[in-house]
Amino acid sequence: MRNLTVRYGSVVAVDDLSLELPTGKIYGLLGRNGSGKTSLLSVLASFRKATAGSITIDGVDPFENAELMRQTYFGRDSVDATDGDRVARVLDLARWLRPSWDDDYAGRLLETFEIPVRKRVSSLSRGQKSSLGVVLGLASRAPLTILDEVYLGMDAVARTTFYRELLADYLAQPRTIILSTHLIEEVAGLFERVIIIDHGRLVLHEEADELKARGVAVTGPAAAVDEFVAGRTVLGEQSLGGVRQATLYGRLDAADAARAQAAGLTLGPVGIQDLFVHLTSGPRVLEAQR
Amino acid sequence: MNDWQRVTAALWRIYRPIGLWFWGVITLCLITIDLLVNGFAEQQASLWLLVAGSAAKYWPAVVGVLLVALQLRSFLANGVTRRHFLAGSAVFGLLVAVAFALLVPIGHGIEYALLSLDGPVAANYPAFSATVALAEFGHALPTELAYLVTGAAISAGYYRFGAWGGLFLMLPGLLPMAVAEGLFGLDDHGTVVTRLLPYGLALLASLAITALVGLLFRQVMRDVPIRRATG
Repeated sequence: MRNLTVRYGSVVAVDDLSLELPTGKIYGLLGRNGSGKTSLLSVLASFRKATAGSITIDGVDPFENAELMRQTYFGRDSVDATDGDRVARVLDLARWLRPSWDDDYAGRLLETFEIPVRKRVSSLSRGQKSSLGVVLGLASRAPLTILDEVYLGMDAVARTTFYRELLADYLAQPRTIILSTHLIEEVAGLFERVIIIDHGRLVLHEEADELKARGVAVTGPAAAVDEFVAGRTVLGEQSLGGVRQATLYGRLDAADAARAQAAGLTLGPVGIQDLFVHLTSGPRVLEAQR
Repeated sequence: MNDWQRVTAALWRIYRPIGLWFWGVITLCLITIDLLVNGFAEQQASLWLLVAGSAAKYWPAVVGVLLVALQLRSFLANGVTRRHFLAGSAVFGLLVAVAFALLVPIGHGIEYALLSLDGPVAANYPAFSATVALAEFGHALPTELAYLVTGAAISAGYYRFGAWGGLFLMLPGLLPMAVAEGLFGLDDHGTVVTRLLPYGLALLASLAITALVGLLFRQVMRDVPIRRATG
């Protein structure tokens, strides 16, 4: 993507965003409500044309490119099927139109998610509709699979099943998967790379492990923790009795780590969600990387 | 099969059972009414031409609306380009129009044969012959194409530009239907009539306006953003 911009009238949803995504990885696309995630993904999936800028997949513009569109699945929070159709008909359509459709796998997933094939889409629960979107997304076997908040309404069991199936299928059939989600902690373990956008602009794009290394959780006696974190960026604090945990933003060098150890403090990893909240809250400097 | 052929085939599979039910019910009802009416009085008009003839043009209009409002999203979500969807839909629409235009004279022929079982039909009833059948087909086909394009164009206007833009685009969208209705029609007994122009010119004018609005429809849809479903 080069200088990609998407506008709706006077509203700028994606603002001059440039990004390069190597294939064959699971990406987490994170952003607050209205940050431009769906607009960005819609352009990537050819559901909408960019207002300005360019986007290429393997050097080719995907918009109205039959070969690339066939190889792309874009699942949105509302499943793109006709409400009056039965589930079986929705699957028929995928079978008729997608050369890469895996019917056996779709059947197994339907059983796993307990979606009745004779029910009409309109009579499925919100979670079942989302699960149907997941079935369509996974069984399409599309080399570029984009799942935009497809978990809406899914209960904890269904979401866990979704993450498990997604990972198992990705390992069996590696491809590029982009997951847009607000349930960051739940899915963070799947991300290989993380993209954070805010107000339509790129905040960061880096390996999930690198992102996690941007923060550190410091645990120990309250007084020692307070002394150690003084002058640093503290994302959050929790206390239990005389023990305190502070979440810091910023990498610690070897000297800092040694000082912490000497003070009896324990250093641990920070969740992506804490870092996301910090990076997208309040005034900040955009830090487009790569 | 290539991409647009896959679209045509899928649409055919989707609409075939609905069309069969529709025509089955219409045929059963009209045959029953024909036989009942004919038992009491001489039938002065062709119910088939008046009722089924009208239904045959409204159905393509509804198909035109649904192609945009319902099918576009589902097909693109399954990796089909707008270009191939429009091409496949155009072929499917043409097949529907031809099939329905054929059903008009075929049904008339069957009705005529049924009514003739009790002796000669009434003087005002439009007698059936090969020439009459050809004229009925020749009137029905451009009318059905016009209704199909009108349905699709109006739906496209609302889909792309919302309520006000759609309202504005209704004017050109309605043109094919208005022209076809103005030029082709039926008299009170069901006999086909051509108004204002000789048939050849009327056919040319109707097809030209339909094609023109069809091109406008294509322009509106060629890069249309795909709206999300509600709920």
